[in-house]
Amino acid sequence: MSILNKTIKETSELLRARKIGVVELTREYIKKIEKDNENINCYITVCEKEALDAAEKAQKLIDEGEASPLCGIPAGIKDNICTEGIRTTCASKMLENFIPPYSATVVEKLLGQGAVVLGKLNMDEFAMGGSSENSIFGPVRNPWDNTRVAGGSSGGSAAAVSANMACFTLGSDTGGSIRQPASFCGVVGLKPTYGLVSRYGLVAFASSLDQIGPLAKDVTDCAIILNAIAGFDPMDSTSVNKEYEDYTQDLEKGVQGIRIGLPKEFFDIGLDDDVKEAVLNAVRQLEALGGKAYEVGLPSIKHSVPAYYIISSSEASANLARYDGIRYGYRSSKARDISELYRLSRGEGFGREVKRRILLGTYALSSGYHDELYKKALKVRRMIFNDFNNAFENCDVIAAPSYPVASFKIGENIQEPLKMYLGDIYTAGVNLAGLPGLVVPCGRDKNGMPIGIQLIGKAFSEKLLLRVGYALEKAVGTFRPGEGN
Amino acid sequence: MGIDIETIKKIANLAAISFEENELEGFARDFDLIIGYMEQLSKIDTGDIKPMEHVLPVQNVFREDEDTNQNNRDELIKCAPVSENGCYIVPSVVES
Amino acid sequence: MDYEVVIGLEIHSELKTKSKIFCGCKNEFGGEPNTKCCPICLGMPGVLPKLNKKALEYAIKAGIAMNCKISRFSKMDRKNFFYPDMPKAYQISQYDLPICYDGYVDIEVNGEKKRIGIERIHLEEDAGKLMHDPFGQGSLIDHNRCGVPLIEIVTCPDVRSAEEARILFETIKTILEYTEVSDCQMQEGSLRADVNLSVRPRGQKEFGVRTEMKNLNSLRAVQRAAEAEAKRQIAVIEKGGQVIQETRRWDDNKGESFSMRGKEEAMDYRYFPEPDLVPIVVDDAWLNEIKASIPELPLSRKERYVNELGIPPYDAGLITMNKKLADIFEEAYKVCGNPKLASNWIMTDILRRINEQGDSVLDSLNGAKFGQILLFLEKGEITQASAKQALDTFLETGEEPESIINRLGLKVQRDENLVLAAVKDVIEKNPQAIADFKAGKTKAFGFLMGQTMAALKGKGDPAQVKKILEEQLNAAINE
Ligand SMILES: [Zn+2]
Repeated sequence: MSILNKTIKETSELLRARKIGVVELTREYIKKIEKDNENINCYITVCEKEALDAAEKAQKLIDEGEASPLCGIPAGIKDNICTEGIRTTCASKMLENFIPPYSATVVEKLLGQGAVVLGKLNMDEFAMGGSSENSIFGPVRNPWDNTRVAGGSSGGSAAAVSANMACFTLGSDTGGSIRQPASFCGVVGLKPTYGLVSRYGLVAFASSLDQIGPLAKDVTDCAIILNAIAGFDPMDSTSVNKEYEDYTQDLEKGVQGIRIGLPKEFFDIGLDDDVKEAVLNAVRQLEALGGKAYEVGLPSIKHSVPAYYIISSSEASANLARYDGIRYGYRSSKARDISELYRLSRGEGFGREVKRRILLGTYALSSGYHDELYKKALKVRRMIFNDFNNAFENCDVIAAPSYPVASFKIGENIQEPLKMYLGDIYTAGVNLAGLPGLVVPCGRDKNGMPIGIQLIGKAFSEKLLLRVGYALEKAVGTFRPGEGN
Repeated sequence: MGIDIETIKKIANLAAISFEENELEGFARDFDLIIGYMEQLSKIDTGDIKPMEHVLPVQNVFREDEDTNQNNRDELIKCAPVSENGCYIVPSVVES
Repeated sequence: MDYEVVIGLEIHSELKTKSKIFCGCKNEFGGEPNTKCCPICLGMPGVLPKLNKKALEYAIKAGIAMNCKISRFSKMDRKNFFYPDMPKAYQISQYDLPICYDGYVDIEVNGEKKRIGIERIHLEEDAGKLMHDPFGQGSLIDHNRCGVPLIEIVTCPDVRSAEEARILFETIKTILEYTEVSDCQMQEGSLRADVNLSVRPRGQKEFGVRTEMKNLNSLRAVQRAAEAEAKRQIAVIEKGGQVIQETRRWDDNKGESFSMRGKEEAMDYRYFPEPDLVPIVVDDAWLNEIKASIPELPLSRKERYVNELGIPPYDAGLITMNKKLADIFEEAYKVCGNPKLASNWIMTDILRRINEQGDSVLDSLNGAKFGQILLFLEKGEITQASAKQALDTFLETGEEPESIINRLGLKVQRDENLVLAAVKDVIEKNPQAIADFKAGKTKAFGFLMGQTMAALKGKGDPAQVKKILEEQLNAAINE
């Protein structure tokens, strides 16, 4: 079995046992990227030199007996997470040449652990989309079927892990952007509780919803990465100051007596039969292991899509206003006055979906609509938050689909923005409520495409989520393209 | 409600985004559909529910009043598409 | 027709924190362009603001000093608009929950106290500066001022004349100086006012259409702009026209204002709560701590000077208008023990110096040292003229007053023998004056007195000199 197939835990053991060196390992990954990126298109930027430098340093740390589990592990970073000296494009013409003079806190943390950053990963422009087709660098292709999407917006992050082009990756999740691509590519993805991971250096889409999280080959790896990136950051006022937890602990404790809530609203209509069957089958597996399934209600969840789109687009309309062609980013050469400088730089620099969201947000905040759209959405947000709280009175985790279908064809939905938006029904509410959501592969559809179950927990219950996910993974196994699962 | 091209132009102006004339019609059509869907919000009875701005029960996060930053001008201004003598440049902004 | 002018002010005051409101950059006026900036105040992708606690406390302090209620629950909001010196294209400000609200300040107009409502005081960030590019056709942006903490004080439309507007602005400036939340350097733009003004026929209840004049940066400009705008509006109405609601720019050199129509057209700020910052909750303990840090304010000081120290109201008002001056007075009178002496000196000598040299003269005037000089005068150890001379020297050199007085030999000459000798000498040398005096010409006494003082180089004690001169003259007459 190739070294590239191995998990963080396995790779780390091989590095420590001197079965392979970090530089050699890094070269293996780079070779793999060189070979497959043309096809998968998951990398926007590969930073070979920086990676090899980091690999040498990591090797030294290992030689000196450095204990960090991520030391020497090659990783990819979604291209909306700032990396000092390495361009950070957000897959947008607007930031095509932007080289940040600072790194995101999570990147500092990974580098501090000795991780090796291979490059920056493709995505939907400014994280807006669910298929990673909205990228000036072209769509990410699903490693399971190259005619299909990898999901989005962290499609590059999910595809890179699935295609063994990184040992693990970081993505960001505003309305499902880690969980849906994880499901589409058959990898594990975690959207942490809002406030658990610092947002400093994550190019903001919707500040009250955005969270950075890991995508990995298995649940254990996910826990290892979370250990490295979680925690209070004085640079982020919304990062929570709480005691350190070891997320790898208790993974094997099992699910005996764990109450699993099944929201009836999630299994009603609009859900693909294969997806429904795979998710319910996974729940049965958990029951077989001692878990107890209950039906729960999330009566307001049906409004989560409009509430999510109004809130996220409103925040985005302000967050993306700074791209004006003055201090950084794309600047139109045609502008004759200041007003044209704004309008043309933004008109030419942003893609269609980004413009659509900015306009939607601008509209929702403008006088006359502020109360009936924006403010109303904030009220609905609280209703959804309350719904989850009520549901968690009767269960410990909620099991749900990640998306109504498994991966669809490239180009299939791109002309139908509203249809794409509606797909966020299972994920967006979790962001609105600030809760953690873990996606673990649990089956495949009739086309052979992977399906992931979403486990939703109470705020800061990542440890329990990972424990349930681990039990499930042990029961159903992990999923790799090209392997006969 | 009906989103027409004029509405799109008005919002685009507020958001400072230029559009090609031929883009507008398709955009307005999509937008009309999307807004039409989002407007279900206004029909929801939210009773006396208060708007939720933050999900975290966190308050009073401050920094101490310390001046900690170094002058980094030359590095920061490298990000600018145009600059001159340490200044950012825009087309003339005349006070009318 | 008789018209009533209705004015409200919006005053922007930078807060004198060490660092900016959301980042660790230095809060300091001037310097090379863009050298006091970082990714946060430049609004670069991915960075986050963090609120400076001191800035918030200063805003609360200003609010307490202006008798405001303090919001126990408050938050920051985003105010969206594009402007080249505003990097994020939104200003972090406060919308519906300002940190301070419902206050008032008392002003004094022609000796009458008048209460002006304070609608709100909110906290926000300042923008950068645009400069004309001397070498090109564009404008240059300097972001050094971006993110400097600012409070906006919005008064109620309670002001009824241009003079009142000026007095209100000055009173608020004084309060900000007393509470030490702002250095109020108007020439540097750290304190500036917008004047909202309308006119209405006297007796009419409804307000007229108002205009707004932005960024007035002197007391004089506020008064003049308000006077001119009231006149302009009345003229428009008298001609049968209608005042248009608009923003106008005051040109202080030309003494007139110009419409900025078109620029502010359809401003829709799309305020919403700043998701990157968490709510602000002020509890009793914190509020009391801030309250305790507020010094005695100008009006209360003035009343104390008048009622307890017997200072004339006009003098007390003038002294307390300037915190530095009031502090100097306070120290000086405590050292010399005679408040009236200290206030008289301030009203004459010190005010003359301020008129001649500007406010900066107060920086080199230590109140206690000034008091020591006055104490020598009070004890009769030096004369008025010597005291002036000692003060001149002190302001130049900063030397100890006692050492100045000794070095320059300014102490009054009281040695009876020396004075007697001087008197005798003068009598001897001025036979004509003695003859005049004998003839009953009292004027001659003054002349002889002057001659004696001159002989003593101005250091004689006038009472002693007078006494001895009288004795000697009487003796001479009786001879
Ligand atoms: Zn700064």
